[in-house]
Amino acid sequence: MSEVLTRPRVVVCEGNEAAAIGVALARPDVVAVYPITPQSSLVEHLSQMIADGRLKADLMNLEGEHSVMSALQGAALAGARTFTATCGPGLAFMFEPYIRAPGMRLPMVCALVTRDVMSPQTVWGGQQDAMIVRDAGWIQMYCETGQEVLDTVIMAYKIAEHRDVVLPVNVCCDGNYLGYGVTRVEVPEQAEVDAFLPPPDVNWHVALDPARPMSVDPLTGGAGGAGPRTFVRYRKGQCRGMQEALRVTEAVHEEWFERFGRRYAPLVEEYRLAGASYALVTIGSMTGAAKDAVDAARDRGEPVGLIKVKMFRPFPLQAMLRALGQVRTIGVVDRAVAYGWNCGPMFQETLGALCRLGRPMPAVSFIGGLSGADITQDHFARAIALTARALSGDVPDGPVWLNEND
Amino acid sequence: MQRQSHEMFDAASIPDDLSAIGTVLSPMLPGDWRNARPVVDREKCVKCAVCWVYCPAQCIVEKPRWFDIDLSVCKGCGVCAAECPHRAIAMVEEAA
Repeated sequence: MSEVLTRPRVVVCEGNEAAAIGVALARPDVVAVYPITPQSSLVEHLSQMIADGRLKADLMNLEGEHSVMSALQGAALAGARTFTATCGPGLAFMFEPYIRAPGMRLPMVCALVTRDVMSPQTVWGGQQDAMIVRDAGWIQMYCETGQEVLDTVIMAYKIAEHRDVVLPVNVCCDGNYLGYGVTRVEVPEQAEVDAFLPPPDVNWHVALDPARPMSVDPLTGGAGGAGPRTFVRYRKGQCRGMQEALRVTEAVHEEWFERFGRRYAPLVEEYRLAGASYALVTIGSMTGAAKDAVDAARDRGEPVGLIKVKMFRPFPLQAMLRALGQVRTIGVVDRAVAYGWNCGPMFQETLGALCRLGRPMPAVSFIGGLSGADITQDHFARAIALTARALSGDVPDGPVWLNEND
Repeated sequence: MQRQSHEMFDAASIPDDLSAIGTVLSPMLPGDWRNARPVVDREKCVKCAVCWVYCPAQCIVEKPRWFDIDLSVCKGCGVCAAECPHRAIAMVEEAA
C-alpha cells in the first residue's frame, strides 16, 4: 500500500523512472526484464523498487527478450498483471512471442523506449523499432512528456484489460529524449490509482489453470473443415478489439482527467487548428519543440496549427479526419522511415486517412530525429515554411530529411 | 484415457472470437490420409508385439490370436511392415 507513497508527491526524474513509477502504481504481479539501451534505466529503477520492497512483484531476470515475453505470457495465462520494457534489437529478439500475444488476447503492457534500428550501427533514439511492429496487433500509444509516460502506463492497463479490448499495449516513449529527459512529474497517490485501476483481470477467457482445464491456442485454420471460418472468426475478433480500443481509450483518458486533473488527447490532439490553413502532424516527444515553433509562427501571423497523434494503433481514423478537415495542407514529421514508400510511415498512413476525407490536399513528408538526432525548433520552423509553400502548390518531390545537413 | 479431475471450462461463457481454446477432446483420426494399408497375416503373426512397439501412431490393437490395426488411426507409414520379424504384415495399396 505505502510503497510508492513514501515518495514525495512531486519528483524530478527521467522519463524511464516516470515509467517505472507508473508501473509500480499499477501493481504488476510479474515483471520480466532484459536490459537494452536506452531502456535499461527503466528496468533498473523497477528492479530497485522490487529489491527495496516498495513494489511487491516477482522479478524475472531472463537470458533474453524472447524468454521475457514467453515467461510473461505464461504469467498472464496464470492470471498475473505483467510488465516489461524493451526496444530496438531487444524487440527484434522478442518478435516471435511478441506477435503471438495479441492473437492470444493477452492484456499485457510493454513499454517501448523507442530506438532506431541498426544498421548503420546505432544505440540512439528513433521510432523505427516501434514503427516496424505497427501491424503486429499491439495497441501503440506515443507519449509527449515524462508525466504522460507515467500516466499512460497506468491507463494502458485499464485499456488492455477492458473486456471489450483484451489486447496488449505498447506505451511508446522516445528513447534518449523522453527516456533520459529529466522533468517535473507528479506522482498520483496509490489509493487513487487503486480506485482507478481494478485488480488484474487477465485470464478470464484463456488460462493455465488446473481448475479450468483447457488447451491454449490449439491449431486452427487450414483449407479444410471448419478451419477457414474458425481462423477468420478469431482474426475478426482481434480487429474488433482494436476498434473497440478507440472508444475505450477515450473513456479511460476522460476518467483519468476526472480523477487526476490531467487531460491528454487520447487519440489525436488538435493544437491551434482554429484559423489554421495548414498544419504539422507530429508524434511523440518531438511535439513540444513543434508546438513552440507553431507558436512562434503564429506570432508572425502564419496560419499554422498542429495535429499530434498519440494513438497510432489502432489508427484513430475518425479523430484524424476531424483534424484534417480543418486544414488545406499538411506536413507530416516522422521519426522513422517507410522504406516501401520513400517517406515516413505516419505520412503514408495520413495519406490513407486523406483518401477517406474525400478532399485531396498537398502533403509533405518530413523525416527527422533518426538515430538520436534532435528535431529543434529551427527544424520545425523549416518544416512550417516548406508546408506553407506546399499550400501554394510547391510540393517537394520526395521526403525532406530534416537532419541531413546536421 | 484418464478422466479429467475437473470439468472442462465452459467456453460458451466467453465471446467466441477471443483466444482460440480447446475444451472438447477431439482425437486426430488420420486414417483417411493413408495410401497403403497394413494387412496382418494371422497365420504368420506370433504376437511378438514388435509392431505394437514401433507403431508411431500407436494404432496396433491386440486380438485373441494376433495383433491388428486400427484403420481409423493408421496413416499407412509402413513401419510395422518393415519391422515385423515374421513378415506377417503386408502393405496393400488403397483403392483410389
